[in-house]
Amino acid sequence: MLVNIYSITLSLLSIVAGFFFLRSLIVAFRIVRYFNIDEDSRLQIRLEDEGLLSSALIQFCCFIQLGGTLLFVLAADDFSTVLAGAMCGTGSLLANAYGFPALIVKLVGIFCYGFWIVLHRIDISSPAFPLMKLKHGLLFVIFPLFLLDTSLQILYLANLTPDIVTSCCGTLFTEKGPDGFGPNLAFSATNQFLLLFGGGSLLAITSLFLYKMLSTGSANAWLLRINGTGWALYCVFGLMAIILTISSYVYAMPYHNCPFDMLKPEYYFFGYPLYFTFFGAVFCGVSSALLTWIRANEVQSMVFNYQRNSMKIAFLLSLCFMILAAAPVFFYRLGGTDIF
Amino acid sequence: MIMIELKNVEKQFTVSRNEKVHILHEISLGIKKNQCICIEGPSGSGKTTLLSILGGLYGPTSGSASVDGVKISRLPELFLTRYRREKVGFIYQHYNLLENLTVLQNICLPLVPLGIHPNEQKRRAKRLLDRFQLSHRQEYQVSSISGGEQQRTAIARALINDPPIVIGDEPTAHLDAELSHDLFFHLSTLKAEGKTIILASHDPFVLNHPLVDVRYRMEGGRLSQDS
Amino acid sequence: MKNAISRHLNLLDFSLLSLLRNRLKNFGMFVVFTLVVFFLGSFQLFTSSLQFMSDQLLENVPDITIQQMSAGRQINMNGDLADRLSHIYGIKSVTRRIWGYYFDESNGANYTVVGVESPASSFSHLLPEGTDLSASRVIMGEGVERVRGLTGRKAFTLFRPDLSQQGFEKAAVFDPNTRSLTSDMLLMHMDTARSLFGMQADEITDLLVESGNPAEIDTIAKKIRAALPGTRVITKEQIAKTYHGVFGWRSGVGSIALAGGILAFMILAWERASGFSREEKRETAILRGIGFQAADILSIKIYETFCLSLTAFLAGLVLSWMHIAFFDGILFKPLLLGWSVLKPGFSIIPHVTGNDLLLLFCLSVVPYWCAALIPAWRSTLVRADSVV
Repeated sequence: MLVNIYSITLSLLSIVAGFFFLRSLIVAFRIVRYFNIDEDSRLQIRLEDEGLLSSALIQFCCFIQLGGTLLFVLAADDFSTVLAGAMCGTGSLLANAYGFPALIVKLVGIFCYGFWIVLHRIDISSPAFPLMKLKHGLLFVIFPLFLLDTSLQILYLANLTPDIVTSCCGTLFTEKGPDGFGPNLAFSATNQFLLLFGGGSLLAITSLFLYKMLSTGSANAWLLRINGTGWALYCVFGLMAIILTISSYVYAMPYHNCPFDMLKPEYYFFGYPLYFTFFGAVFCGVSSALLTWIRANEVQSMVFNYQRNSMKIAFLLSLCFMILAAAPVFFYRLGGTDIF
Repeated sequence: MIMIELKNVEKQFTVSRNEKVHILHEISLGIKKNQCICIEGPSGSGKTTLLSILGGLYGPTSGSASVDGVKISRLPELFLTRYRREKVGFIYQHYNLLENLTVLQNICLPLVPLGIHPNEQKRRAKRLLDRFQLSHRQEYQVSSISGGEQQRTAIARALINDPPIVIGDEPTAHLDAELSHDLFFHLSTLKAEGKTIILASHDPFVLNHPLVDVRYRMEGGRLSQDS
Repeated sequence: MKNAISRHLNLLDFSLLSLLRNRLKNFGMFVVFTLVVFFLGSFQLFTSSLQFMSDQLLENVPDITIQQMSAGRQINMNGDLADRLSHIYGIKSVTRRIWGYYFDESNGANYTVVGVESPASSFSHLLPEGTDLSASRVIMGEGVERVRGLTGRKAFTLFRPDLSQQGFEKAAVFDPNTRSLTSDMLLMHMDTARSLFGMQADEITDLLVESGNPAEIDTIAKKIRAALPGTRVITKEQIAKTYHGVFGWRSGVGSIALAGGILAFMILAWERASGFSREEKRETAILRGIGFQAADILSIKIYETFCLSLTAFLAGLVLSWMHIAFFDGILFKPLLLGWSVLKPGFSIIPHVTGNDLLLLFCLSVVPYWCAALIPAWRSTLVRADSVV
């Protein structure tokens, strides 16, 4: 167990978030069981109030988890000074089997909270609260994810001992191509660029197209779903491309592929806008696809509005993302120097 | 034209697990726009409960209430709040002012959640302060002004977002004769502006005031129209 | 969107107003909060500054230091011993050095006196190019210059052990950025140092060995131990381990203690927030009656906690910075006492990073918000009709 101020803070944040989550689960349970909008009992009125406020708790949870994830990455970076062999955050996360799963579960968790908040916003736009039971039922699905997140984090911190020699990003993502950038597999640098920029442009254009369709009338639900699936795939492959190829250009070091170093001041916090635009676009794309399954009449116009706006945002964010991702490559190839 | 319509409104309160109090019985009522109505009746007859339903503080147990065609009887709290702040100015029996705020701050309070800029808030409040002769008191804490001034503050607060409906619960209960006259002077100007006024009182002065168009009598939770 | 922003600005306004209205109640919380941040911040600043300083110190530690021991204590050694190491393969250079402390009675300061054969030794990177250390010229740290009042002058004298005076000339001052290492230092030629300390012609205090290959340090150290029995051979790694060992363990224990403190603080915050009075209940009901949403009231409460905690956070931060910068972390010195053995009479230079601030924020402000949120949440459940 690594006792330092980071691990204590992370654990504290998890406890707090868990507490809030449990509190809103109690409300959720009562709502799923007793909520009936047509009734005028004391319980029903109380449930309406509590339902609104449990959403405030979940929003706070989301906020905490967001900060917690950031802190987790920063902590990993800090641990790398203590762990033998680790030179950056990647190395620390690889120090045992729980590091990366914890991070991935955290990211998925944030996505879920975000989507929950979207559902909530849509729900309270109608006096009938048509999604009340759905969204509170969903909490019971998200909670295991939260538990998994917390236990992975605890396991990661508990099994972190300074004596274990870990590897680092250079060895994790080796097998470089002839030019030193990207691995020399079918998944070559060229393919990755194609995937990142080609796929990105394609998705941006379909999103723009869907935005136009939604603005003039309606869009086919299946088109939105296909678009959403595209965004989900793009999330996986785009992330790989960022780590394997773009990061090398950011650092101007062929064997340095750390996804986290670019969050540091040495690289002018380049990672923050890069990841924000990337995940933001993915969130808009995927969430508006998921909303096609919402059938309640009372909130159709709100769902429709959300989809329209998020298609626009997805388009704009992906554009920004591609510009950001292309900048280091562009500078390196044309200027012959690194961007920073 | 009927503006406010109640149909078969019932209200029960749950006192304990298996004890319910039936406050309102089958109340049906139609109020026209720009009418001034008064509900009389002894205390405990359900006047305040009826006003609370009209004011959107809670919904009825059964029956329907609608204002301007919008059903307010089955609105969740979130939407009732919206109705309260857009449609109703409620003058409570005990004024319900925040004692440790100034007169001006109290009057501006309903504008806070509407996102109106403080300067605009003051501008609107100034007009009401002048109208209700409170300008010299605007920076005073509510706890330090007289009862009549408190009442005028409460009226000003009820009017600040220019609601079409003004509800007064026992408005003269704490006023002497002169102040009651003042109050009705203000109410008559409001009526002249086109507002709908709903009063509840057992004060003969209110009941017999010429401003009142329709009188209702409330007894044991049942409503009947007086002459 | 624009409306939402102006609404929240209004709510913020209102919450500031209500903070001022309940001045007395909030001030107590403010003081406690400031204290928590102060302790937490001082601790974090203290440890991170020490970490920073130890890293700087370690950078200047030679690969291997050799000291002569007698009866378990360090004594002066003969400079000739260096020649007995020449046959050991892997040694890049052996440097002789005199390292001692001079107590200046006139102002009660302790100087670190370092005598070297030539400036091109382990301190070369701290010096301006081509500094001449002949005769009685010395290069001094900023601190010494200040204490002796030498900003305008060059010449000064120190007492030898027999109370005769020795004159010195200020040749240069160390770069202020290396303060943690050089502040109290007087760097001079070895002969000058010998004269000051009244040492024999050939005597030195320690030998510094640089190896060509870091991986070989342990092997070389073993060979030196064999070649020079009766000496203490310390490798850089041993020093680093001592530093970090003492330090990491103590800071871990310290932070556990502080975590307990935070917990207590959260309980207090909870208590304060949950004991909402009849007056507050009435206020909430009135506000809801005139059109405040439950969410608006929750926002007001959140802004209140936000403003209170943020100002307290800043106040605590400034106080803790002052505590470290001007008072050398007086309150934490006992906790890290072992440290002073390594470098006596040191003063701490505060070193703050963004990470430190984020951590402090997460440890003080976030728990407070959390503790205050649920009670606030409950208090908004008061219904509008409860004042009719």
